[in-house]
Amino acid sequence: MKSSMKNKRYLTGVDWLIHVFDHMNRKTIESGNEFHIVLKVDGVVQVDFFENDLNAFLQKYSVFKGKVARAWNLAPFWKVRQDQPIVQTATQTTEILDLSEFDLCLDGLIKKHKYDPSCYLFSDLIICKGQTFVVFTFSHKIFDGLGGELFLQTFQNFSTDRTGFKVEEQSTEPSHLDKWTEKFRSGRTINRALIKMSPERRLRSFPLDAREDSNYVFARVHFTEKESARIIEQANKKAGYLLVMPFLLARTVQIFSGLFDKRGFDKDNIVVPVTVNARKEEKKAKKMFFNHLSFLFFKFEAEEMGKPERILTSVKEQLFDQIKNKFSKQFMDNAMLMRILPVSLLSKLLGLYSKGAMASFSFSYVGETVYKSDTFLGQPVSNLFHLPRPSVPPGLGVIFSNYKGKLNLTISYLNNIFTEEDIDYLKSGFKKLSDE
Amino acid sequence: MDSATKKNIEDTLTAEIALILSKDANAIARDESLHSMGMDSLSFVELLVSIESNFNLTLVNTNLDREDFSTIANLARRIYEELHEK
Repeated sequence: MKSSMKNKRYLTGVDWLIHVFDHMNRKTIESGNEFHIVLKVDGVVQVDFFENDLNAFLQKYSVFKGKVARAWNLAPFWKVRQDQPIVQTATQTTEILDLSEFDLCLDGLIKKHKYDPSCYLFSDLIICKGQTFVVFTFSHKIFDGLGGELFLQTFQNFSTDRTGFKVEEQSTEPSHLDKWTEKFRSGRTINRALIKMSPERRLRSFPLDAREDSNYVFARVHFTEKESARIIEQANKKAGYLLVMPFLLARTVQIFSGLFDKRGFDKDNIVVPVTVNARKEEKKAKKMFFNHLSFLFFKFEAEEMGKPERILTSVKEQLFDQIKNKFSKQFMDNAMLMRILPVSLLSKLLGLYSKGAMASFSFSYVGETVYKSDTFLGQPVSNLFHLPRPSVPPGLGVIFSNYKGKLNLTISYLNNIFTEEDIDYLKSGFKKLSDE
Repeated sequence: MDSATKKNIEDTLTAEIALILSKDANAIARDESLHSMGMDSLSFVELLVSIESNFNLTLVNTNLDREDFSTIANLARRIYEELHEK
């Protein structure tokens, strides 16, 4: 079999949750659960060359011909329809005169792509003053953030040496219809933990007016190598060796708390789900498709706000406790139990935990990129960053990524959550990280 | 593990790191930085959890400075000192 994907691949509980988020998004803002990765290339990428390579590359992976189905045992699975073509949309190329037009241009391009549930990847090129921003839009149904980066690296490998390119066999997934006692125990643990997280009053979250015509806005801060090194040094010093993620999460909570105060919100608790990679180190290069991630949940008491060191200690303690109790593994096991429920019902149940406000915002730290090439289609790459489209609610997410020593921050939000003044406040708070 | 020698501590740490990073313990150098081995925030905290369970030492709220934690050899020395101060 030439294809890397057999005709059937069971979905994990987390994969199923991703479908639920997709359903929730489509119901409110008519947009699927997707994310973008942008490669900033110092040169002009030729669209014909790019499309030709991409089309040939996609044909290697029959996963793009798939859709969800239910097996006789009721477990959802990814059904590959070998007789179907791979749905692709044409790459759009737009030229802009100034980088300040980038965000507006990106937004326009994304809106032009009509949502198609059978299309799992599309791409756009934005050219500005001899540079190309290659924007890939990935469906979370078959990609997570790290998988998206791995896809780009594998595509680059293919493009560099088509004849020597070998399709890496993708790992399969069993039905996971076993170890029920263990799963039910995990379910009980997670249920208790989420109820504990759920505040007595509403948690601190920004009012969300999600409508069909809502769109995402991406506020970005790109740190230079020097600034990034300074932030990482501060993280090592203040949080501890290698504890960059806890440091960035603590500072993010602090900065957002300042904005809540500025807007006069009640001093309620802040709850932040954090996405974590669940791939074993040796499987990192093999698991390109589907979602190999889990979640940790952090709760910050209203009394902790305004005390940066207290917040940092709280992040470290909560992280330690959750890792000690194997929370992320238990979350994944618990999610397996949810696969029986249809996405529409599950989306309603998820809302019950927190009276509609799922979280204050979501947070992710992708860490050092798995895209290791210095070039993309023969042109030097100067940066790579993520633009997530966080689920609604809360429709607000923060992501940090690290491209070869350069930290990139994106605050993704639905357009009516923040004013320009709010965004200036957040950006200036994050820029100060390199001055600590 | 009161009578742990530095060598025992290093062996335990090496085995734990090998498990966390899915590596062969023989391929792990004791003077290599944990960062260059591929450790990140989560795997480092996993290591702290294993230190608690193996040596009954909770280090998460200590200063965790690079000097003491960057290599297996340094970390073993720190744990040894902590155990003998108890």
